[in-house]
Amino acid sequence: MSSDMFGLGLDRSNTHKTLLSCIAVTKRFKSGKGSVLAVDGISFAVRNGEVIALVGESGSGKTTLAKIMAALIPPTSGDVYFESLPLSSMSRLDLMRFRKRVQFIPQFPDLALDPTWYLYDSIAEPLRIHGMVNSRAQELEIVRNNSSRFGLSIDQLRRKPRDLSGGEVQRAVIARALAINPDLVIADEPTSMLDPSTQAKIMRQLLDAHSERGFALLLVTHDLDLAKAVSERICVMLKGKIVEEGSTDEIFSNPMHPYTRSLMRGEIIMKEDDWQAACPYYGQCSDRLDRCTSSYPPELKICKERFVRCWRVA
Amino acid sequence: MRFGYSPSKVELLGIALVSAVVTMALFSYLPDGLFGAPSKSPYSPPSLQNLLGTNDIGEDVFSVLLRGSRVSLTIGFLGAAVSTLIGTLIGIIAGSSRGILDDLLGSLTDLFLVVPALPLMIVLAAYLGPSFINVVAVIGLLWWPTTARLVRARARQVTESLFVEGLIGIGARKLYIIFRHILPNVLGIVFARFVLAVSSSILLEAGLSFIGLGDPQNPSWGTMLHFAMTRGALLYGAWWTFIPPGFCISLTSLGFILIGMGIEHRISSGTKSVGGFA
Amino acid sequence: METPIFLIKKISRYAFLVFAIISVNFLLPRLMPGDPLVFLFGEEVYGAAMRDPALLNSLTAKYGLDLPVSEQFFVYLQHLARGDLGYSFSYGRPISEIVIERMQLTLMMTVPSTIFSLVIGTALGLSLGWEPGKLVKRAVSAGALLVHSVPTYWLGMLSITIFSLWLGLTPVGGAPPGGATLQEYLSHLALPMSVLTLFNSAYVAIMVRGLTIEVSDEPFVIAALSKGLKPIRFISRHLLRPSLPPLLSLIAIEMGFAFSGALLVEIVFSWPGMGYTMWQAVTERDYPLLQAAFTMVALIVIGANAIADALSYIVDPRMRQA
Repeated sequence: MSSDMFGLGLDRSNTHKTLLSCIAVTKRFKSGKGSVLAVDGISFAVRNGEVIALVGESGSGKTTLAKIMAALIPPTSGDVYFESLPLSSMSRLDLMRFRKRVQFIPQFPDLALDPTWYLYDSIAEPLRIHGMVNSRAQELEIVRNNSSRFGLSIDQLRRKPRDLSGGEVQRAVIARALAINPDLVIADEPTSMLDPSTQAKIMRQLLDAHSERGFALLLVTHDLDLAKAVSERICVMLKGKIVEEGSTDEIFSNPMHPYTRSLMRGEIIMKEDDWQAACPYYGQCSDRLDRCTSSYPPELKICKERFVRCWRVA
Repeated sequence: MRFGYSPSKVELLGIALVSAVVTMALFSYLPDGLFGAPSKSPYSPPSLQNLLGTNDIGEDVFSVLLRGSRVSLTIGFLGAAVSTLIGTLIGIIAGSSRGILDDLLGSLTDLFLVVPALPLMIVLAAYLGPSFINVVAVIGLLWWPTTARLVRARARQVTESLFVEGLIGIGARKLYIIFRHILPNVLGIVFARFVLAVSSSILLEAGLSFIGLGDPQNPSWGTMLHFAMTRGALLYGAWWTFIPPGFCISLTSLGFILIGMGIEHRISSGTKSVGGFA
Repeated sequence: METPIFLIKKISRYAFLVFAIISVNFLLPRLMPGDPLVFLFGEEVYGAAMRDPALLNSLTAKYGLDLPVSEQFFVYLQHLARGDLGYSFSYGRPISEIVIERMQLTLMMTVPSTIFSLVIGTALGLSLGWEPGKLVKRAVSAGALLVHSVPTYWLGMLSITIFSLWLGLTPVGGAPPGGATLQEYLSHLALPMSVLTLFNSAYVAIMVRGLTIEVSDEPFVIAALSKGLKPIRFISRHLLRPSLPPLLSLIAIEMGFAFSGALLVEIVFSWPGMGYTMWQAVTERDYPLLQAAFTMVALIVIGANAIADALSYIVDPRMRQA
């Protein structure tokens, strides 16, 4: 199956090649009674060298999607393609290559690194696992470069996580992800647990590294302003579905989905409601139609690289 | 790095008791007869020649006690080492696996937890015959379930923590994660369990030797009690032959329990367990 | 809704345990290094059978020893179902008779002692765990730990020396002859039972103290206390009740320990229960008797576990979803 039929691949590939794409990915979690659909048939792609933001509130399924794309949890159905190779049929060696080229940065710095290991060894670990260094000197060089870029001193590298602040550990997590020069970094709210001034600093350093090395960055965030500031493209996620996708400029100049608009106004509101409507936003939507209760709108292509799922737009 | 390790009062008491026994064991390497020559007469009460009197065959009880400390401590350490090793391996594999392997090892652990250990040890030791190695083997092979259960719980907790997911993300293999990351994180509990297991295995060895299943070549404190029981010292009233070894067993076992509890308390002030019985 | 599955799981677990014990009993003599016939017959009978081919043949036929192992297991199960545990040469009696008789004597000592130690230990543990920082309580706790580190049989030897030999208060050991009065029984049981009770209450007190300290750190306890609840009512309502299920599983484990402790105490006091029997079997190398005794002890301990499980199931309905 080519990704073409979902309008993801060929027509956009004139400028960038698709690096990682997911096609019809669904994830269902078993819970006490029945199950929860965290990701509901999502297809989208990350292209070489771009910064793309996946925006959604907590509970929208964005972290789950990010972990599926990083091959940390398997999807219930659908598949993830890395340079057109499906994750589900990768050999051990292919998967190893994937792990070397795609890095995941988690949200919580607490326990993101082994508490019994020194920071230096944790940062050097992926280099050792992938056999990327020939000597201790070379390893030291790479670890030091990547750490100092994020403001970690040699002294801090000689400590264990419990002797450092959350911000310092998160810097180490990022330095570790970048140490092996990946082609794609998937960052799940990398700064949301830190204080605002640290947040801005770390994000700046991450973007500097991006423009210097040219890796693609998939930024998962609830913060639309952050997405606006850093990304070229934005996907807005709601209850396991992407409701709007487009370039950052277009989304901000002309938001088409009512949910996107309310996000922009800073009304962060998605609550549990009892509406059994097809569109999950029905209960809070100011523009709802009768047909929204019965069927969920398909992806409507507005123009090139611009999609929205709303009957109002149709 | 932190060097500021200051033992609590409880641990200090434990360390003092254990050091005393280790000193006894070291003294046993001094030449025979230094602390009291064997007297010709059996069951002679404590005197200046024989500080703790003599036993049924006229040996100096104090000298026998010193040699016994060596045997009890060695078996205590070896038995604890074997059982802790087995318990740690089973616990860590069960705790970091899912599905059949975990279920299987979990049920095995539960099974051994319910079966009374001492009677089974008696049967096994009776079949294998009394020897040093057999006593160590019997204790080591049957005293691991508590360790396995605690290590499993801790390993499960570590396996589910965020950094293990991160390790999968950077391409680490399962065995690598188990031995390089999960193992260091359970070592604290393993160490506490080991110290408590030393206490248990000293008591178990004493129990087995008391029944007559100890190594006759290397009489331990338990062996001394066995002979006091079977050769009439008890009914003769020769209290000096059995009070000292029992006293030593109790204080040594208490010493290791105190240290082990101190370490356990340090790791988590939550659950406490006592690893000993007689 | 989920109750039947839970029950089936529990019951099948115990069924498996019993089966495992029976299988171990079958396999042990056959797996040990050396001639399995020694372990199956006991040393004396083995020696006789080696000299007398006719005896060897009849024994081989009886246990089906010339059959393949799987069929031997079947023969073994048949014997077991008939209550035939073999013959003890050292007693010259069928093992089943000995074991049943001796088990009663062991239970006569352990059951009351277990009940006493649970009551004493729980009361002591609760009071030690309540405001555990006080000097007196810390001293008593240390004492309980010390008692717990003392071998029971040594405690027995000490008590015989003091109470029987020096003070002449109790008989030195043994069981009273058949048809003895309750008083005679009590005079023989007083010392071993006190030793056992002392040891086991120390163990229970240590565990209950730990549980109490844990529970009293929880927020609901602090809230209840700040409402001015009286300590006695508080203890029964907030400490005893929530800690009943863990206490019950403690009882089960405690039965195992009580048995192990009792086995050794019996030897010192020549109280002819299971422990004394095992000891004699070891000394006489009467392996069939030793093994039957072990099996009985294991089954009783498993039974105690099952009863404790059932009780906590009745006490705490939340367990039913576990």
